[in-house]
Amino acid sequence: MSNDLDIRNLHVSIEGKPILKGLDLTVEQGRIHALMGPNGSGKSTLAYTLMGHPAYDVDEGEVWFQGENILELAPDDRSKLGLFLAFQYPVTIPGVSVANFLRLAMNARQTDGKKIAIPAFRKLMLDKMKLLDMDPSFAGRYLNEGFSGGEKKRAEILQMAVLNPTIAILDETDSGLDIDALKIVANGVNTLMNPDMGILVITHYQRLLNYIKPDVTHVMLDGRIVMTGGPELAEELEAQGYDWVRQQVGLAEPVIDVELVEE
Amino acid sequence: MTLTTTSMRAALTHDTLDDLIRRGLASADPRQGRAAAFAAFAAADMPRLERTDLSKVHLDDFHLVVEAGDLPADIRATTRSEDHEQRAGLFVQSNGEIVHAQLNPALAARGVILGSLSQATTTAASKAAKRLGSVVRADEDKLTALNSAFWTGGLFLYVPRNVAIEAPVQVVFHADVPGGAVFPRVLVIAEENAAVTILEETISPVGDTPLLAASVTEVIVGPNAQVKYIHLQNWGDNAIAFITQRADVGRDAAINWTHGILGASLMRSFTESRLGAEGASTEMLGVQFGSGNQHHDIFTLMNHVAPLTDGDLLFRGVLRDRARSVFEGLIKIHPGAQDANSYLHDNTLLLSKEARADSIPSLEIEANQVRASHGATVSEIDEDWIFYLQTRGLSRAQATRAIVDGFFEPIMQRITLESVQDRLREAFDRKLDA
Ligand SMILES: Nc1ncnc2c1ncn2[C@@H]1O[C@H](COP(=O)(O)OP(=O)(O)OP(=O)(O)O)[C@@H](O)[C@H]1O
Ligand SMILES: [Mg+2]
Repeated sequence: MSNDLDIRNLHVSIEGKPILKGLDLTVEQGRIHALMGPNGSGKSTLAYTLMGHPAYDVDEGEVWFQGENILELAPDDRSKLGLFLAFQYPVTIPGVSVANFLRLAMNARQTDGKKIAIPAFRKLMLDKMKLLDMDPSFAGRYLNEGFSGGEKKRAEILQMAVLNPTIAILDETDSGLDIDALKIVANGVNTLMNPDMGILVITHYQRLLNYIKPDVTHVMLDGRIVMTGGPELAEELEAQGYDWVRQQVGLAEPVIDVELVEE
Repeated sequence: MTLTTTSMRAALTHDTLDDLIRRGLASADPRQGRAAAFAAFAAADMPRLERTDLSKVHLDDFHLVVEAGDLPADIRATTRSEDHEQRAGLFVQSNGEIVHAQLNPALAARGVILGSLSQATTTAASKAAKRLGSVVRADEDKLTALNSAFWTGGLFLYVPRNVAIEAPVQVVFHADVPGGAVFPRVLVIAEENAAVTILEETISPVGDTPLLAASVTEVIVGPNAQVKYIHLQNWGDNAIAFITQRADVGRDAAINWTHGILGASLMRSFTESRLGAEGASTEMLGVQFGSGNQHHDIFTLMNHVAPLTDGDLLFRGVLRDRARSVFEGLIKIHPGAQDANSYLHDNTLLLSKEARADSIPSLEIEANQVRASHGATVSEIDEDWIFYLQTRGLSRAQATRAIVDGFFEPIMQRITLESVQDRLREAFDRKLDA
């Protein structure tokens, strides 16, 4: 049984329109992968599909995690297996406080059916809030209601910190963060990162990758991974833009997978 | 039809009424106008409601039930304990009979009365007899007339001047005879500067044969007095319930109505705060949860008769399965009611495609210097909310529960009594599990 997330030949469509067109990607435990690609190339589609959003139809392919093809599983079962997504656009849940929500989420994954003791939970939550430099008053606020863009992103990472996933997908967690917040959040992610965790960081900007250093960088175009490289690929991309990638992989022709062997 | 005095069941006829009076169960004091009420009942048609079909309700199908039935164990247990911290008093009526009426002796010593409305109205000169029927008239419609003709037992609660009662007065109306008709009747008088909270719950076992409950509640709120009336409508899901509640609110006085609308197969409620003196105010809070084939038709009226009166209404409903709700909220501001403020908000959340809600807030404003607004929304549960919560490990059912709890939260926060919050949350859980 592997804790790696192994995506094989994934084809996904929305309302009949193909978005992912044969995507292969493996996120290993203990490694950070960056995923970059132009707007609309399908990055969030990949993230939602991995979590099991009902609007995304899987036409072909498999996703293996913890010894199972998780495409058959409900989103909550995927979560309980250790998969986590920090949303690009977090959802507001009126009337549900951050603390209450985190407690529900923690209780949902207690295998013995017992509930986590309130003092233990409070301590855990407050520790993690401190890690992310969040004011304790946040715990009492309704989830994402009236949160600023940056606060929402921070609240996503707070959830990651509390749930301690095996594989975490961060979908543009840097967008909406000011430079100080970016450092704090990145530092939080680095603190959470450990040899048993794998992270897929979806981003448009090198500035996040300056703080969360990827081991591997992938470029996505039109629903596929078209290039894979080391951390320097992200820098190259920032300097040269996606037209350079298109030229590299042959713009007019069907996109080619560039297989890079990792050490 | 002739009726023997031992008969438990009798048609809703004039003979039955005569028999009730003969047996001393319904006092025949002319002020109560039993005969006139019956005549009004016989003459009136069933109310015609725009969105609720009452044509299938045949009142002839039901028979009067007077004798007390079997109370549920938890209520029986409550009647055995005298916890004056928890409650100021306890009144329990089963079918047409009062089975328990008890008041904290310290309050009785201060002139508070809690007891049988029938007894309180036997002499025409009594406070109760003078006010009974003055807030809700017998001939308002067929159902108020029916109640006014046939009610027995009944609660009379009297709070004298300057007496503030801390703990709630608990009131239970119970019914348990299939095919039976019950007529809960309440009269509350809070004199000047008095304060009291009433927590009424109406209950009946679940069953297949319908049961009819037509209730009338009258509340008189004296100058500067404060009354909070919490009403948990928990009739079994075979009940057909007609509810008429009105408060006459005096100068600088306040009535809070808090509704938990949970039970009955078909319910029509009419709740009014008549703000007849300067500075009178009302708050109306409601949570409603419909499941199965339940139909709840809720009508509220914040009636601003006098100047400087305030109204604030917040109702929220959740519907699942094929449940149906109608909410009509009216703000009425009379020509003399300058400087009135009135706000009304109603929101409904649909958990299924087959559920349906109509929300019709309306304003009738005849004064020119007022502030009033209303808003209503009906929305379906958002799949993206469910998905988001699921990605954190909550099952669909747990996610739905979290969303429903969150939806009711703004009202729960305004229901300050913890015991009531707990009762409501239990009821929501039960409804979500069903
Ligand atoms: N729910 C949806 N309904 C219809 N089309 C959708 C939906 N979600 C995504 N798409 C389409 O799928 C394509 C990929 O979108 P996706 O959000 O995955 O892109 P992205 O790579 O995350 O872009 P960005 O960098 O802007 O976040 C786009 O053309 C988008 O319009
Ligand atoms: Mg995206």
